[in-house]
This record gives sequence, structure tokens and C-alpha cells, in this order.
Amino acid sequence: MILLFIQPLLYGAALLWEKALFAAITVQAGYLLYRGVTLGRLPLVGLHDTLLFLSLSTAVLSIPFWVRIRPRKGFFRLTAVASLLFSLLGMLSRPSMMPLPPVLKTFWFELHVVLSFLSYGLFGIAAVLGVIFLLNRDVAMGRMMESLQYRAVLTGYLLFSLSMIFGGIWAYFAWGSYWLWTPKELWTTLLWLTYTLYLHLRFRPYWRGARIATIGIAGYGVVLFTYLGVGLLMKSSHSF
Amino acid sequence: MGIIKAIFNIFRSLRMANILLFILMGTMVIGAIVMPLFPSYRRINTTSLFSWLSVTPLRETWWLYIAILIVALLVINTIFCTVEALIKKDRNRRWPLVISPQLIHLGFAFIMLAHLLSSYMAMQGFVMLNEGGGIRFSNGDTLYLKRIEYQLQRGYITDMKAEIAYSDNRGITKRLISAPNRPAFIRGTGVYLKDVEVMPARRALLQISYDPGARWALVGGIFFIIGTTLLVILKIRQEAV
Repeated sequence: MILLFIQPLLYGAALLWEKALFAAITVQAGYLLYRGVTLGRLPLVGLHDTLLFLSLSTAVLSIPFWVRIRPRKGFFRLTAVASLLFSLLGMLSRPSMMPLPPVLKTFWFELHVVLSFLSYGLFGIAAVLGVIFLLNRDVAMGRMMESLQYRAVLTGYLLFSLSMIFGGIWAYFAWGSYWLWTPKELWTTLLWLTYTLYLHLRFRPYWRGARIATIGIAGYGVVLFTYLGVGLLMKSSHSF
Repeated sequence: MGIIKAIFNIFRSLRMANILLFILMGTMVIGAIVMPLFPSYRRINTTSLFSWLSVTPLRETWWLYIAILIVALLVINTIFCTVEALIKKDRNRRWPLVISPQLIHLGFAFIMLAHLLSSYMAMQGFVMLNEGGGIRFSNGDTLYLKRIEYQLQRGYITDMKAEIAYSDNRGITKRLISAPNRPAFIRGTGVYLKDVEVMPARRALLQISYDPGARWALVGGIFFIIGTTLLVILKIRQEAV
């Protein structure tokens, strides 16, 4: 339990001392591992677990980016703040201790959720890179941020597409159809369409630069609403 | 000839794709807002989409018609873009970079074909059977619930399975097991175990579903992922230069 309370403190410390990020990642991964062992399954059900996993995904996936960025202070601080925020929200949510419903006992579900949150982490990093692009006046730095944002979105798009396909396979075996008409599915499709639009718009020179960076930021708004807004406000196959 | 070329030029354009994607996003937002407002949407997943649309008032479903129209235009746009990309003679472009978006487009087209098939022909029904009981279908085939098993943990069902038997009208009987995430398939139709009860009688709720689009959606998904993976590798390399 102590690991749960330490990890946001370490993310906070990482704002002052970069290397504390690795400690935060280790402690958070340790806590999730402990939960996994205690529950006898992947801890990916309910807000508590998924928020902590999102926090961890964002922090871990930011590492390949921040080793490339110079100067990296702005990027580092923004991703650490995002991870801190998600870890605090996760800490405030009640952990689910209930046995897993039979319908969730399949690796299709696990693949679906893990890949979703990894892609959300990458879309979050893309949004951070977009913010830095908009705040930066240096042309070379801006070009690098835009290119890195594109790479984050493209990789996130692959993981998200995989997650949707695995989700479809799971839905077919669990509910008899690979697609269900619910608001959550519509928002998930909307999220996928948002990044499809991003990738298509980037082909056109008119949209390059600040415009595409802004869409990368707006896309993350759709991510957060699809994950938190729809999950909390609307009933769907994703409410457990 | 001029008109055909003009239509082709409009539909092959990236600009058209972007406009259509944007409109489709708008209709999806409207749909997500409209769906919880009307009780008719509680039945949308119980039958094929087109059957449901035929009995639901237009004022509740208009956004779906727009979405279907936009998707149809997007498929045409995708096909035209792919045809153009494949016939364009640009020797400077690397072949994998040309082919990977086309694989994604092909995957998208298959997934849309899957949706079309499911929207026309999918069917779903529920039946509650007592252990030892059965139900006879209109074609003369019979489904029996032979036995149910379940596991309880702190008052929650954590696992369950049902042994079923299916006799066709020629008298050939097949014994199968159905469990959550492990439906029993009989000639492409799935028998899904949804719930079990032991009081007042040992019985199970079974869902019988047929989704003809599923295999095409899977084919589309495979093409989509191969294309996207190839594109990610190539583009990340290209951007890094």
C-alpha cells in the first residue's frame, strides 16, 4: 500500500530532479505488479488500475522521446505532470477487489486494454509535443517537435488499431458480434477517425506546422473524453 | 468523358477524404448524443442494423443514414485513391511506401464490407433453457441444454459452462460446450452462454447469434495492421533522416 502513496510523490520529485522519474516508474510498476499478484490477474479493471496504468504508460513511453529532445526540460515537465495527475486520480479512485466476471477472463480483453492504454500514452505524448511546438519560436526545434509528434501519433495509431481489432475479436467471442452500437463504441471510432484525419491532413502542406500540432492536442481531448467522460457518463459494454 | 473524369478527380482527392472524415466525425458525435435519448436504441444490437432501421422512426435515426452515406462515399474515395496510387508511374517512390497505405485502404474496404453484410444479415436471439430441456427451431433442428456447471467466489459467479446438444432434422446429434468467451459454433451460428441460475431451477440463458461480417472484418483487420505496421516502420525511418 505504501507504494501507492509514494509514486505520486516521486512524480512530483521528478519535476525537480529528472532521475526521480525512473524511481516513480519502478515504484508504480511495483505497485501494479503487487496488485496483479494479489488479484491473480492483470490489474486493468476499474478507474484505479487503468489510471495508474495510463500514468505508467505515459511515463515509460516518454523516455525514447526525451532522450532525443534537446533541451528537454519543457517536455519532461509536461509528461511528468501528466503522469502525476493520472497517478493522483488513480490513487483517489477505489481499487476494484471483486473477482473478475467470466466475460473478462480472456487474453483478448487483456490485449485490448493494454494496447488501448499504451496508445493513449503515446497520444498524450503527442499532445505534449504539440504544446511545446506551439510555445516554441525556434524553427528547427519546432520542426523536430512536429516530426516527433507525427511519429508518436503514427505508433499510437498502430497500437490503437490493434486494440480495436483485438476488441472486435473479443466482442465476437463474448457477445456474438465484433461491433456493438453503443456510445462508447461510437466515441472509440471517433477517436480513431480523429487520428486518421490527423495522418491524412499531414500529407497536405497547408496543414503542416501549428495546425497539425493543434489537431494532435485536440485529439488527446477526444482520448480523455472517450476514456473518462464516456466511461463515467454513458452505459456501454465497457461498464463493468 | 469529361464528366466522368471530373467525378474521378473529385473522388480521388485527399481533400475529399479529409472532408468526408470530418463530416463522419460530426455525425458520430451527434449519434453518441442522440443514442441515450431514445429507448429504441436499447434494441439496436438485438437485430441486424437495417432491420432495426426499418422499424425505427427517422427522427431518431437520421444521423445513421448520413453516416452510412458518408461511409459509402469514403469507400469510393478510398478505392479511387488506391487505383490512382497503383497506376501512377512515379519511379522515385519506394514500392513498400506505395503499397503500405493501399493495404490499409484494402483493410478498411473489407471492414466496411463486413459491416454491410452484418447490417443486412446478422441475427440474434435469446432463450432460457432448463437443464435437460430443449427448444425446437422452425427448420426442425433442436437445441438441448444437457448440463450446467459454475463456480462461485464470494457470491459472484467466476466461471461457468454449459454442455449443449444440437440435433438436426436428419437426427444427427452434436454435443458441444459453451462458456463465456468460448461459444459453441454450429454451422457458423454461435451459441453463447450468457448466464446461469440455480434457483428456482437449474437453467441457463443462451444467446444464439449469427454475424456473417465477422470473418471479413478479421480479414480487413489483418490487412489494416500489416499496412499500418509497414507504414510505421518506413515513415519513422524516413522522418528520422
